[in-house]
Amino acid sequence: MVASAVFILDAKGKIIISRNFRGDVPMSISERFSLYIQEREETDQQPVFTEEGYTFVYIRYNNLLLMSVTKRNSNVALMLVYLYKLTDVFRDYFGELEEESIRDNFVIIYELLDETMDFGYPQTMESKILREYITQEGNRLEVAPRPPVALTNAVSWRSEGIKHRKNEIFLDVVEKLNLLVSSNGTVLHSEILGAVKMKSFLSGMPELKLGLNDKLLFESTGRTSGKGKAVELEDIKFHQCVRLARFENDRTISFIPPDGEFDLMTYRLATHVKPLIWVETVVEPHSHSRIEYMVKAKSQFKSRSVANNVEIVIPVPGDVDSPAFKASVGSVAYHPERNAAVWSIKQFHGSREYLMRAHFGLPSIAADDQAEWRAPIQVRFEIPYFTVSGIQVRYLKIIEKSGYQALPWVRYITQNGDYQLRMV
Amino acid sequence: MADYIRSKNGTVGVASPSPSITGFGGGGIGNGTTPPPPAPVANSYFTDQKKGEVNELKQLLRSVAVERDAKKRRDVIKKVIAYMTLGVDVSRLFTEMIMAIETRDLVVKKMVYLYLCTYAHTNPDLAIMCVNTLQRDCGNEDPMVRGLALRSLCSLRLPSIVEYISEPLRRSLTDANAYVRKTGVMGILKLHHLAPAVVREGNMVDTLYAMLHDVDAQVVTNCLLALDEMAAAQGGMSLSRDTVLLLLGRLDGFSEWGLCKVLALVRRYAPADEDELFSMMNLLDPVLRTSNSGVVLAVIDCFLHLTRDLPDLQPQVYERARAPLLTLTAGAAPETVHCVLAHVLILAQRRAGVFDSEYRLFYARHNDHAHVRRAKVELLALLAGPASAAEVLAELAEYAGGADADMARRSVRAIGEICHRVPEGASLGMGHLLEFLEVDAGYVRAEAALAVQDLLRRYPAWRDQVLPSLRRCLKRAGDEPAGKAALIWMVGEYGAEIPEAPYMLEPLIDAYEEETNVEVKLQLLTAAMKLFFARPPEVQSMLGRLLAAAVEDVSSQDLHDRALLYYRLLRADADAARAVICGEHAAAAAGAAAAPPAALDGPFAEERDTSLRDAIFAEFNTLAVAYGEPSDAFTAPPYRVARAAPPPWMPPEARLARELADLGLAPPPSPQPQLQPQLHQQQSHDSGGAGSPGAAHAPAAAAAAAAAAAAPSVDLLGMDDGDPGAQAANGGGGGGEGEGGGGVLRPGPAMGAPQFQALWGELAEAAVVQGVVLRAPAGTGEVEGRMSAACLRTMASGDKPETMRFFFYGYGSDNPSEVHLVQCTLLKSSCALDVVIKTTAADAAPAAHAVAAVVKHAFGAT
Repeated sequence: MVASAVFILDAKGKIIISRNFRGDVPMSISERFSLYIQEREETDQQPVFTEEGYTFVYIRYNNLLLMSVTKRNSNVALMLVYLYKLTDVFRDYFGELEEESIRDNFVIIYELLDETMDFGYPQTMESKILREYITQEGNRLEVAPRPPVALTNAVSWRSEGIKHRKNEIFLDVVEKLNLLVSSNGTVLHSEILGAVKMKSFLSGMPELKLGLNDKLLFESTGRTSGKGKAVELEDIKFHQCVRLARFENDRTISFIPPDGEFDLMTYRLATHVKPLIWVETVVEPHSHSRIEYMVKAKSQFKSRSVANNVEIVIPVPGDVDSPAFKASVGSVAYHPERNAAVWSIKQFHGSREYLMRAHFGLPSIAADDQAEWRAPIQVRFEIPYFTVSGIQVRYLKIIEKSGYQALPWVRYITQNGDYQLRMV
Repeated sequence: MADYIRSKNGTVGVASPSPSITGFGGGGIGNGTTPPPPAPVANSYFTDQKKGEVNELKQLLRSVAVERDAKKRRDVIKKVIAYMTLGVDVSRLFTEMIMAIETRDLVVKKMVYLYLCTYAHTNPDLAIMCVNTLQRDCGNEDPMVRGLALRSLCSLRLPSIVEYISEPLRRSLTDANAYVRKTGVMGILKLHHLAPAVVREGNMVDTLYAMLHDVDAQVVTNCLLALDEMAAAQGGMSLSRDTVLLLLGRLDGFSEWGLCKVLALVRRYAPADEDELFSMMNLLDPVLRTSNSGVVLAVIDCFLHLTRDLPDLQPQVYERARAPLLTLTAGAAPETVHCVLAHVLILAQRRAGVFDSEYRLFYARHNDHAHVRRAKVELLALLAGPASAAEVLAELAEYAGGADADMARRSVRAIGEICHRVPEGASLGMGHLLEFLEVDAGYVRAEAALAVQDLLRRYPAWRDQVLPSLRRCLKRAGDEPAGKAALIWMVGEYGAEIPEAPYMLEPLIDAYEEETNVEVKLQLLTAAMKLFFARPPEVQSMLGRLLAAAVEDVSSQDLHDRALLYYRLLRADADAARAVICGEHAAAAAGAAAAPPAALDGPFAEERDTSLRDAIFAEFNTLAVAYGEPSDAFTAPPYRVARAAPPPWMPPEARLARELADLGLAPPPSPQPQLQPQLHQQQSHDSGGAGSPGAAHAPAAAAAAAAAAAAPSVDLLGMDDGDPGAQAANGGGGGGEGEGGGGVLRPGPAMGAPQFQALWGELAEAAVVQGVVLRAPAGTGEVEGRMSAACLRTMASGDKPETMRFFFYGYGSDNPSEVHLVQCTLLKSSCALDVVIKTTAADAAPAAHAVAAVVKHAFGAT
């Protein structure tokens, strides 16, 4: 990939900070970009577009736009990944990434831009490594700056000589359930997006080995899955620290972890999943006077599990008034800005069923477009100590040459992903 | 920072840094993106606020230079950079900033260097003053400073300082610290853009090739990037087999960015044989598990191109690519999804069926971005198969009823496409379309009319269902000209079967003056003409009115001309006019009794043309895919990468073997490959020897080198002339010189299969001769014997149940440098012989025919 310049702009496309890496595009080119952002309908905007030989690739992040320009036929996926990684680096440095944090830290931003890219080619983008030679303290008059050790290391994501008083490692298995249900109640599509997230506070250069109830592993070793069932993980992607060839050979997940937080692996399962929370609605519109909803929510998981912070978002027409709700559990609120009624249930136990009735007034002069509000119902939830796929961590072995004992902690959680049920 | 900027003359001093948590992290660049608003003071003293501010800074810089207060100085310099970021021109401070360059404060150094890189071009003369310091910093004991100085020195982009750059650059390449080395490598690339001659004369390219063995992966990555970009005009850096193996061997060491570059290079490499191909693919396969979408796409690209000539392997590659691609679309950010979907689309177009079973993944979500939804609809149209058509059509119909007009249009179009492609779903789709013809939304009706228009050409039987509703539709056609034109076309085309057709057109003709759209008018004109031939008495008068109006119409030249043409055609010869206007339906129109219109077979002409898709596919994993057009459409010539003729995907030898295997033939024992002269040059790069100018890295040469390198006994000693042993053997075997050759051919050295293949590909056919053999030979040996007697050596031969095929070659008797290549195909059943001759002879045709005569004679053919 080649990026001629990188810009960080506000939501209207005005430059906040920019860096010209190759000098083959005029920096005034961003005016063209801001015209595009301002004059086009958002539905007409494309994340990659070309105008008179200039290609603009951009992403939106909070109220910011991160954009890079090129005049060549560059690798588009890579340009996008670079911009995303850049947001990761900035977030790691400044906590949250927004206009203010950019303005407050412009010197570091320049420094980071210069280290992450040289002449349009990405260089080091591991914030852990960058932190070793670009610090926020900045005042380095006394301390002789150290060269970035890890750049010459065999392991580019971890420096030597890391020390923690308490050697701990936290594992979160997070699964998100994507679901699309048609208006007649059939599940059109369901899939699980899982991630094993780690927070590592281990000293030295630890060797880790993670054991999962991976079906293919069990089959290859001829082991029966024992009491728990084995899971067939379809498409696994690993953090670059995992030895891929090793996994390919015997499905062992072995790695030297980076220090701090990272996603060890992500996986996808396109299996048919029973919708964990099922919502049915009956809508009775009486045009020009009122509209009534009857909503039934049903939890379809084991009764010993509990879904927390359940939110069922029911779209309503934009011109309704005088809302009235009656719910058998939880609370309901009308959010005019979202054109939706939100039914919140703090704790939704498994195998339960609840009802909610909503009543709205309609103005006597109806809006012409009825299609607008026929958006799907969306559901948000979190079920701790539970994974839809049934994936389990069997062991996490930690071996370091100093021989310390480290504690692994494991948590499981299932959340909604893109969870939509279309209304009749 | 706000307090820095808004301060007035005199009050600035060194404004106390705004409260901040960190040392210099605090104090941003103000809230506005424009320069600070000049205070609206009437006093003329404040007219040029900006200039005032810059002057202030100038004063400040001077004073801190004297004061030697490190903290103050840092604050002032930071302020300068803040102004620069805001877009204020602070180039006038150049002299003062150069003075500040002498510092041990790394952050100040960085800021000053940044300033220099930004404004050097405005003050080239002054910039030279700082070169000394930069050069000295390049020798600093701290590697960070060395790297920083070097990077800045190369980024000044001043032709005048080129002479000062080379030396520090050269030193940096052997620096003990990898950070400096990788910066130096990039520096060479920068220098190349500034002064290519310096890089060439300094043999820096060779040094970079040698540095591919560096211990640090980032250094290697930068070498690859630099070498490849510098050779862009020649189609990229040259790749020997050793280099590729070296890179593949240390795949794990590369960062994601490095991996992408390595993969992009490996894609260009032609493996020596299938074993090598497979071991490469096995090495690359785990890389598909990376979470970086750029890397995943690069691996897929690699696989697709490595297996391009192996049709049995391609399906597996597509299979393998599917899951990683789908995962990328499932969890990623919308921008990434946009880009990945474009790639999925191009793969799905190329190989039907790969993603078909996953069609549900591409159902549009309510919260998808518009561009993602569009891509999904396009994919759905492509993925629907006999089994899934009903479900996909129902889903698309749902979108067509949605609030998003653009989405609705695309969905209707997609339904039409599915009807064309999947006959099993056609009736269902047609049902949807007929419903759409009646809905409230005008744009949906229009799109449906367009889709139906095309569908009737393929499924004429649907006329019965469509035609009755035409009249109603036409009345409601409203302000969607394209849809209206489609409806009018249908009335004209099928008018013979619609009893009230003339009375559907009549109101339109009467309202001709009110119609503003040219397309509709043109269509009306043609429809009226067609209808006239079908039902002359009813239409005659209205056609007359229409022609008169259209000839008078000055709104469009086309319209005027077409009307005049029709009018004159009719006047000259009504039958000719019918033939012109009704085309293939002329007979039907003449016979008034409606003969059923013929159904269209096969795809439409535009769908048959895959050249655009092929061009885009060749640029997989680039912007070309995202735009759906080849890169030449959106890049200016200087920014294009030369695409030399694609190297053979398989080395010639392997390809010949494959071709023969298809025929059920066995290749002859492989002789020594002959090397192209370029090989020596290529090798010199890899050994880092004093070498050739970087200009000669043609990929063809690389491929040749690769192919040659693949053979175990690479001829590095310049013994290019083939195996002397073989030559001697040939002398004996070729025995009867001139005997059967009729004086046309003489014995010559043995030729390698690659050379034969290369020649065969290069040369045009000089002669193609047919003949009939009196008696089919008993076996290939018999023929080979006879050819050998005629001084034609056998390259390969094979015997299949129906055919025998041979490849021969021979040398001209008058001029031994003339080579003749012969392909013979003998059809056993009919004893028909096909001879194709290619030759290097200058006077190709006579020479080829002479050779053909020899061949036929040897076969005993007439």
